[in-house]
Amino acid sequence: MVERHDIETRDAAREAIRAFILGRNPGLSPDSITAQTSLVTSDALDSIGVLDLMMELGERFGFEIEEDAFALAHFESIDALAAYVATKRAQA
Amino acid sequence: MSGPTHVHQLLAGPADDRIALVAGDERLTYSAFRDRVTALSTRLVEAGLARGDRVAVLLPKSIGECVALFAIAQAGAAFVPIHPSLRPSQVRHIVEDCGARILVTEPALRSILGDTLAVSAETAAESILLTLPDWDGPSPPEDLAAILYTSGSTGLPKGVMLSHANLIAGTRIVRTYLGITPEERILSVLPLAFDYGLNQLLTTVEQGACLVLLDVRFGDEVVRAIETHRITGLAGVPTLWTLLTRAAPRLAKADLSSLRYITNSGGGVPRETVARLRQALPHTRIVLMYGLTEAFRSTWLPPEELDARPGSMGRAIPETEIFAVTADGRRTRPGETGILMHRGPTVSLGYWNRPDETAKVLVPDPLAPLGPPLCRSGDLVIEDAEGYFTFVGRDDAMIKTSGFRVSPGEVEAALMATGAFSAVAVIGLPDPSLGQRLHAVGIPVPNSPPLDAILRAVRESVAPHMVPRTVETVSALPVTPNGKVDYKRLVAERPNG
Repeated sequence: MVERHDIETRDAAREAIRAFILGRNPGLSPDSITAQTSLVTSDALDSIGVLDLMMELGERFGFEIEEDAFALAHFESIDALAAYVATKRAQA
Repeated sequence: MSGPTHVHQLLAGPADDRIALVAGDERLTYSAFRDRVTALSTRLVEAGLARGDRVAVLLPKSIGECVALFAIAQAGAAFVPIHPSLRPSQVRHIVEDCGARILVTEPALRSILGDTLAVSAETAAESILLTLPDWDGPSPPEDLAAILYTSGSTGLPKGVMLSHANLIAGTRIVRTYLGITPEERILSVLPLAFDYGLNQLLTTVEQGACLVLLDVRFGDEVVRAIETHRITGLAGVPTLWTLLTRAAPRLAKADLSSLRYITNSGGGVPRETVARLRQALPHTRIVLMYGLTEAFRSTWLPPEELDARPGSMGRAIPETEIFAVTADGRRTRPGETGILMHRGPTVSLGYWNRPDETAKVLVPDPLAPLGPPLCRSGDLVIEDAEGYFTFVGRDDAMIKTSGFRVSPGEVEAALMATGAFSAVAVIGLPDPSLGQRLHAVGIPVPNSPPLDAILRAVRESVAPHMVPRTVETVSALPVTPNGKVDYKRLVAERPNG
């Protein structure tokens, strides 16, 4: 059951990240943001947008945002960030 | 006097094979830089550019943007760099307000503008030159080099006119007090549409040094760039120091011993952030500076004074006199609050095509009424007995957030356009990361749309830095005796938001 819970969190996080990005980019086609979209190499969010996204994920999924949360590896795809959220949530 | 008198002449000096610019995997020598500038300058002239024309530049932070600015200067015109995060209607305001003859842009950015602006387009390699309708306004000042758009306390952004002499003086002054040499490798994270971002490009070229261009989203990207390129100098606004000290796990592990100095401008840095920077960068000189676009830089705090003068914005930069005056025009006594006044070679030529606004900011020098004017900053400061200044606040409602100046009126107009409010006021509240953060106080109409729908609509019309961070609803706004919104009271009643 733990695994299934993980997958649900990951799916919810992925949707939350996509919704956040689309909210910050009016006019952007929803199809252009996929699970593989990188936040490092795309213009999806600026630096303040990244900070805001992490605050929102921390609040919504109930974990503390610490410095390590901002390792570049977490932002190489939306999937990677969703997986990180699921891990933190499981630890919280 | 010898040496360059015009911005593009700075490019003549450096040796051919030195690296001038680095962006990602791209490297440009000074020789190739000169060739690209000359080629684009020729294209501009062939497209009909004449001396005194304005050329708007809408490009991402790139080698192409640096080339465009020098090419425009070489063609005898004035460049108008536009921040690429601005929304289409904001870009259109700048292009139309400055009466640009040509807009230099690229395919991806051109598409967001639509086809309404251009008369004709010429595309080559990565850049597009859009020729714009003729402008029949007054002629520009003789020595005009650049127009930088910035907000005031009211109205739409205004263009600050900078002469070649202003830009050359700013280059010489900053290079002198920071001790910039040809061996410098400077990391450029600020937009070239900011005066200090532009100044980094010019000081680099003047010294034949190397500028590494970086679009920053993550603190670790900055850390990696410093390591990879052995960066010696870095300039930022308060947001950058937050990214580095709170959101850069690599900072503690990296070897950043190459970093000789960092400089801050565009808002105060909280003392705690300064302390974290000192701890993480024990060998780096931390230089706090203050300035406004209308006069470029005014004060700097020498790094050896940082501990002795916490909260200080420093003393006058070289070649410059800074002092404060009271409301009745008398020079302040030590410890007394007054408006910061600036006398020196970086005082701008005023606002493009707005003589009345210019007259409020550029005032006759009482010591030399026929000479160059003084800049009246609108910033309230206190000077101590040793000539060091402390920032107190603004004497108007202008907001400074994340290094950008924001006019409350422009954000209020975007909020009112959503139809959600019968009245709204936008103020700046203290914020450790942003300097100030935008807070909207509004009277909602009945059945007003939900907050996220309101903010989505605002994001469509203004750049990200102009979107309120928080929105508060009230039943009435405080007003002054003459019936205007009382911004000072709104701020005072919300000391920490």
